Amino acid sequence: MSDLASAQRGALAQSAMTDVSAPPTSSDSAEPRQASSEQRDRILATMESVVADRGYADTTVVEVITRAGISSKTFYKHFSSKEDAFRAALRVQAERVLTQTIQASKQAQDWRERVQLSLQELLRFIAESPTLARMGIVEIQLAGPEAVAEYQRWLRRYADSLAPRPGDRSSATSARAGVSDQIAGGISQLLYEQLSDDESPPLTHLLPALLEIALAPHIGPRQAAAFIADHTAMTTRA
Amino acid sequence: MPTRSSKQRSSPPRLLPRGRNRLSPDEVLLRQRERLLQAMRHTLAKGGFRATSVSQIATQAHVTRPVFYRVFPGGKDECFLAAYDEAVGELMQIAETTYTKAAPGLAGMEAALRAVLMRLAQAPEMARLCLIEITALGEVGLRHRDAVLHRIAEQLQTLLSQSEGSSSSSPQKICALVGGGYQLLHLTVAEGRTGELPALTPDILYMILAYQLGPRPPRQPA
Repeated sequence: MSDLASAQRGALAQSAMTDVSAPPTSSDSAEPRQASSEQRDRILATMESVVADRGYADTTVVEVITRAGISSKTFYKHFSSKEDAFRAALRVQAERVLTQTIQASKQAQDWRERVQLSLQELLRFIAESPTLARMGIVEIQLAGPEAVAEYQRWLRRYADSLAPRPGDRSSATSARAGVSDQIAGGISQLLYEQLSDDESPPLTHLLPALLEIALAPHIGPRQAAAFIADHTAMTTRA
Repeated sequence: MPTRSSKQRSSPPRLLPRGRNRLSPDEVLLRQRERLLQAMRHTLAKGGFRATSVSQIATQAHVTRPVFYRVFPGGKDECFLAAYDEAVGELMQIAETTYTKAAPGLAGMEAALRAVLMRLAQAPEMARLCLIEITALGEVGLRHRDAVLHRIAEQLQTLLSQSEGSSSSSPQKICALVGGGYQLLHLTVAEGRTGELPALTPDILYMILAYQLGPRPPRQPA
């Protein structure tokens, strides 16, 4: 990379900063911080689009900074590595999915319906943003042990959101340790297998299977099957 | 080059090792490979895959870097994957032997699973290698891991379809079962609770029943 190019990018980043800031009074003022958080957001958005085009393995920091029009110094001011930026980008999306699934399941009458609405919302998100879903479920596995550990923490939070709470009607078996983690792991694995295939069809047809995975360990296979038969005939068209 | 390990087999210990020239080149290569794998496992346990260098492994194994690359031309990745495949192979072997010796069906599966988890609990560095470190290798590691999960799913499918009175098995449920069990083991090891792995046996087995994959529970005696 030529000095001129990097100087230009430096100037670009500089002008991006000064554009939004009033005459600089002190270096501690709020404006540069705001510019800095805009830069960060821009890096995250660019990271997402580069990985969408190239795949995680072939994504380079150079391409991210070139597309984002920032200097590598700016990049490394915010993130320690490609992996770090990728994780941060996915973290934003994971928070979004976790919030949306909880939000969507708020109107549920009971625990089983809550599980259903949550899974439906999850599948809706995947259908709406398949590339993002692929990044968050498949490609994150390529980003190293810390990224995988972070993914598992999201899974655990999702597992907790699906688990019956003290007041909910469910069988005593739900107290068994490790059930929630296995349910979330099972859901994740099924989605992973489907999304690993580049030409996977929309996953809305998976709802009955996912429901069984989530419900049967708590209420037994027979009750789960009855609930699914009652509820998915009318919801698969949604 | 020291070949101490090779000498341990000859029962009356010699005062002086006779030297490596008694070994054929193939044998030398095999022993070097074994030593390097052992060194890989050892250095992994100390610092993880990323922090481990070829030089460290070679030093630990008492071989030179050129020897390392002669045995593993693919470098650190190839050496790691060989150690991974070896560990997985050993665990599969344990599962198979235990299953054949135990009663067929769910009892056999329980015994096999427990034996595998006991082995992992006794060898925390092996558990880390199989569950945590494999994710440090990117695409090639992921492919190896997926192949292992598919193999487990296939074997489970075969066992479940063989067991008496088993209900129809669905590939999706088996996929979820394997993924769920893997997740539970992964979390337990990641949280440093490797010693508790054998205690997870009933939790994992329970899912087979919950998904109606195993034999139907026996009727209550009248």
